[in-house]
Amino acid sequence: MKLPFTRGWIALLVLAVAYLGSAWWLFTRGGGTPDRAVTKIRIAHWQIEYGPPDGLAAVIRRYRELRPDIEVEQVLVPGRIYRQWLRTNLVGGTGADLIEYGSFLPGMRDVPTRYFEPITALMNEPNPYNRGTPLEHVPWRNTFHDGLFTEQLDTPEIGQLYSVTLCQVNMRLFCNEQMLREITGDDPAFKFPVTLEEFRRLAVRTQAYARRQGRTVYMLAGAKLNAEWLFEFMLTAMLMNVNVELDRDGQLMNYLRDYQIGYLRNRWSYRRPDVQAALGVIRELAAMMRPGFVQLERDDAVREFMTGQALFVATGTWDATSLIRLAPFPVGIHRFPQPDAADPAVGSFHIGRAADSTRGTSMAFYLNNAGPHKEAAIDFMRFMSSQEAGQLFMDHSGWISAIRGTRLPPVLAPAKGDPDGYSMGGGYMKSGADTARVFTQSLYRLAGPQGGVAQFVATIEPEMPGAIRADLQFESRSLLEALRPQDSGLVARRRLGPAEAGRAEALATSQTLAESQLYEDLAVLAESSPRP
Amino acid sequence: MPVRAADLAEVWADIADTRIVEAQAAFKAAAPADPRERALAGALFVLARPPLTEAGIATVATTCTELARGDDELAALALYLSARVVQVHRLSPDYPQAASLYRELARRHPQSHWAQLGLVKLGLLTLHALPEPADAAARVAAAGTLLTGITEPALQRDLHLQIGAAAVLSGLPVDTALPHLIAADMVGGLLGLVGEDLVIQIGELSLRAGHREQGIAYLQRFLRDFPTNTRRYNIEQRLAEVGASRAPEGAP
Repeated sequence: MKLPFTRGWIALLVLAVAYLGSAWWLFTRGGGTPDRAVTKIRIAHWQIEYGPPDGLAAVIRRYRELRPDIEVEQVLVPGRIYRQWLRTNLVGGTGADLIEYGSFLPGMRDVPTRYFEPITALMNEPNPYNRGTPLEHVPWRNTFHDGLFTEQLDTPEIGQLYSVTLCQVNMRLFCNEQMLREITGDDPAFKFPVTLEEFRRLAVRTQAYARRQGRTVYMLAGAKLNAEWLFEFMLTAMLMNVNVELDRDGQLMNYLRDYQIGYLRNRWSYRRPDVQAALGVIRELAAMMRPGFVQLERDDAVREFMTGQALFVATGTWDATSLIRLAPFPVGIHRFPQPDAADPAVGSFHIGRAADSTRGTSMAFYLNNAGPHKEAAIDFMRFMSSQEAGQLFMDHSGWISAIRGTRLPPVLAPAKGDPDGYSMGGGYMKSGADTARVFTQSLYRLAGPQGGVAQFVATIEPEMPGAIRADLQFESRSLLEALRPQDSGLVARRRLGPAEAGRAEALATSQTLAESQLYEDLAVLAESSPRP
Repeated sequence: MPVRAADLAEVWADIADTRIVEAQAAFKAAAPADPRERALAGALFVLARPPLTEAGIATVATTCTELARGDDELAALALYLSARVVQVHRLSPDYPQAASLYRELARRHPQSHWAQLGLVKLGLLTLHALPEPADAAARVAAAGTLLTGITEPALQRDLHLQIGAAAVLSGLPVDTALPHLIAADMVGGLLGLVGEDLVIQIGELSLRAGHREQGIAYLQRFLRDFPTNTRRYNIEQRLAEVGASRAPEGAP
């Protein structure tokens, strides 16, 4: 009889201890009990590489000091599952309050209008977190280096702003500085190449160095994406004369569709002598990479660079923090050498440098229109894009801040660069999925040892008209699909009366502009239609 | 003023924000409203969720035809939607029929916002899609005549902008496009890049047409008004090419 009694008391005692322990934990740590004084919001993004999570964490810590009543949780989602994660959570109503989104995410074009809320009106007011700084009276939208140019370009509703950006990215050459010193020795006359011709001379010295070392060293680490970024930039830089010719509208730049329309109206082609000369330079650059680079991924190029098999890797400044932190050698950041008027291949039609720091900003965050704490989310949006937070983000992430007036650490100065070149757009390699496929699939004919410019052009020219038409048709379909539901949105907004009249007026204008673009595209497609 | 629109305010708000499922739930729960308003909401539910089926299009068309029999703002709106259905929602658009409906709308309800917006859409069809007139200059001229029927400044601006753009696209003399672009700029109120593009475009096209002072003034204004635009370097170079400074003489 006594034993069960003892066991019962022991069990009861254990339960009591567990209860008291839990109660102590809850009261002292605060977790688990709803803290009604604190509003919790979540910010989700896919930038899980070295840098951005640290930068955002620093911003969040400072924000907590300023606003102890708002707690911000950073949600890190790997890029490979980001789209599925985003769609599922938005549909299920469990999306984060602030969400990173990019118009380049495949199959997600409907997301902004369905799930995000425009912040245009707020953008026209100063950001209160810039009080006491030179940006105090500047409209929020103009506190970004690019005035949110890229976001406006990709806005789902022309004229409306949906997002704030955190960083600036540029394409740069990352250099193994130790190897560069070994290649150039103590040559007092050596200076880092500024022109394409100087870059060619360094490539010759690198080959000589590789022979001396008895191992393979490439000038450029090779991978499909890295090559595409470099080639597209160089084509745009070399063909500035064509860019100017294509500026039919007098906007001193071209949008992607200007290259499509220009091609279909026979205003440029790969048969033009200047375009062929530029392709010749692309062949030169391709020869500086390992054979078969088109089959390789970004990680392969980084590995090639990190293991000392390549002097440079051409990539975006988003890789800067990882490369600098992880490389076993000093990493330098350099601007791409560009051709000048004296260049033997493309100098005859050179008209000026291309901008390699377009000041475009990215890592855009959108406001979830179904978020339960919109006011808190907007407040944090303002803080994270303030001058103070921009500085914190840059200092802790190693990524260039999107915010004007932030002080650039010296190590990032070459990553930012100066606005000392023409910014005219570009679309010589791809203007959509079909043109990208044709160009990339045939790249081996340009780059391969048995290939050449003539073979490449002979291969792609017969296919390009169809590919460009397919890309333009895809854009037209997307435009039509986007503007159809706007009719009901416009009518509904006007039914809401004067409070929504401004938004309705802007939507009507936006729809008319999109429709105009659609009809222009359809007209060009009709006039360039292949004859039966 | 919308007729008893407030009855369905939640429905309109949800449709405006493309929350169609929520809008339909709010519609079911809403207090009895004007039956014509309810019919309109039903049509919008269909239009808001493309792709439309033939049956869906037929339903919307029938509803709009019924609603358009009236003589009020809702009737004008319904006639506008009838035109939109044949212009953009049908798989095979019928541009001449849409144009005919827009003209009827302008005749029956000339003061209505929907009639005036319809004239803007008719302008687009005239510029790009209708078979007649075939000549680009005649199309631009025909679209220009529609401006007299539009009294709302924002809609006037939008049509001016489209006429100017179509003139440039068609390769007509720059002086055909410039007055329309300048008129659009004078109304103002364009949001985002469109407004920035317009100022540059007037400046550059003016230079190309030989209107040097006008071109310089617009490009200088661009530098002053849009301090963060990525094209500043291009514009500074262009001003240097024509021997002008970045700011007007005597400007601070």
